[in-house]
Amino acid sequence: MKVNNVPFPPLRWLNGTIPQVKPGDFYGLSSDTLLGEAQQATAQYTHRFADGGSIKTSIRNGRFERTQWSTAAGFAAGTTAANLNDNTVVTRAGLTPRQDVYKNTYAQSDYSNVFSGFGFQHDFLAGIDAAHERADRDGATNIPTAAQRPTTTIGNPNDGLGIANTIIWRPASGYRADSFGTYAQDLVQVAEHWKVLAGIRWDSFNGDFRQLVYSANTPAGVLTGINNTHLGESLFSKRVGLLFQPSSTASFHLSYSTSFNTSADTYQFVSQQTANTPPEKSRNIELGAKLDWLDGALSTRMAVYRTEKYNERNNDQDTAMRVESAPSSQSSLAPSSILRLFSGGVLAVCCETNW
Amino acid sequence: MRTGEDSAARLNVMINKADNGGAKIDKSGVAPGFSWASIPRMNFSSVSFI
Repeated sequence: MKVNNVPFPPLRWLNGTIPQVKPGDFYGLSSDTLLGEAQQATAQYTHRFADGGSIKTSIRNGRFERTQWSTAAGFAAGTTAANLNDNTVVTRAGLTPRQDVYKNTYAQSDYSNVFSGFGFQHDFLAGIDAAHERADRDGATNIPTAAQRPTTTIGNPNDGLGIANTIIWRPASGYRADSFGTYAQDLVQVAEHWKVLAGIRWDSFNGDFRQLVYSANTPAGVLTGINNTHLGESLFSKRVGLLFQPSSTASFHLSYSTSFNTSADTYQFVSQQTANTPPEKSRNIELGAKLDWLDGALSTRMAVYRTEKYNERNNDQDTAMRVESAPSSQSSLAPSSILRLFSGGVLAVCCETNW
Repeated sequence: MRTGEDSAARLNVMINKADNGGAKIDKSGVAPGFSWASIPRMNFSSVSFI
């Protein structure tokens, strides 16, 4: 897939509020650009055994390229919501240009089967997965200054003006990471209406991250050093659950699970100061129900749950500083964020009624 | 498109062009796929998006 877009520019807030301009008016430059190319291939193989079990194996490889250089529209000093009119000058600042290439390969193979053993009915799943992820990012120099960016007015959107792209790119950062996981879970029918779920997963993750340092932020700047950081962990995750299914149309569950994030992109901002912070970890406690109505024509699902994330990687300046300045031992004591408390949904599967 | 007793090919093509008063979208892509099951209990499929 290829992309050659002119992205819609953000319009900065005015005195803490959203400026009252016509939605859809374009205050960017015609030279703004978002170029992208994505190539992805997937192969999948399924082998079914005579006893009903199967092994499903899939491999996916992808390459993603992106170059973006665009505008953020704003207002000159003295502009207020009260004096905003068609003659108000709109300034055009440049957003930080970005150029990067991601190459990822993922492989997964798992075995599943339903069988009787040890006096119980089992729904069993076990497998392995592996990933190789790499990214190379460029930094921009020789960027046109703000003074080279023409202004416009509120009453003159999409004025067709553009500026020459003088950017010179150079390598800035990147990573190479490998991860491997193996897992198994069993859903056991322990009584007529009761099932118990138990699962465990082991992950191994190793990533090498680098930041290139230059003598100056100009094309004349020379490479003076490379900051290399390594992150490696081996981790266990677990899952337990209890299901109560009093009928074919009702299912209630209580579950507890933990997980770790092994995506290299999550840790792209790791530095030598934060390399000892443990990986992102989440835990989830959930109480939920699935109920079918109208002979299966209407299905409802709802859950009350609490998800906590620990050691969250956050590059937002307002909050990341607080997290990263804390010793790793402290940051693992309290969750960085609590995500959700309640979810619910109604799914109409089929509506063949005589209403 | 069936290519045999136990195989089939699929081709998805997309083009998206839009001009929203300055902002523009210009996307195109093709995704061929092939599925093959020559032996009972075996199935192979491939999809790429380029």
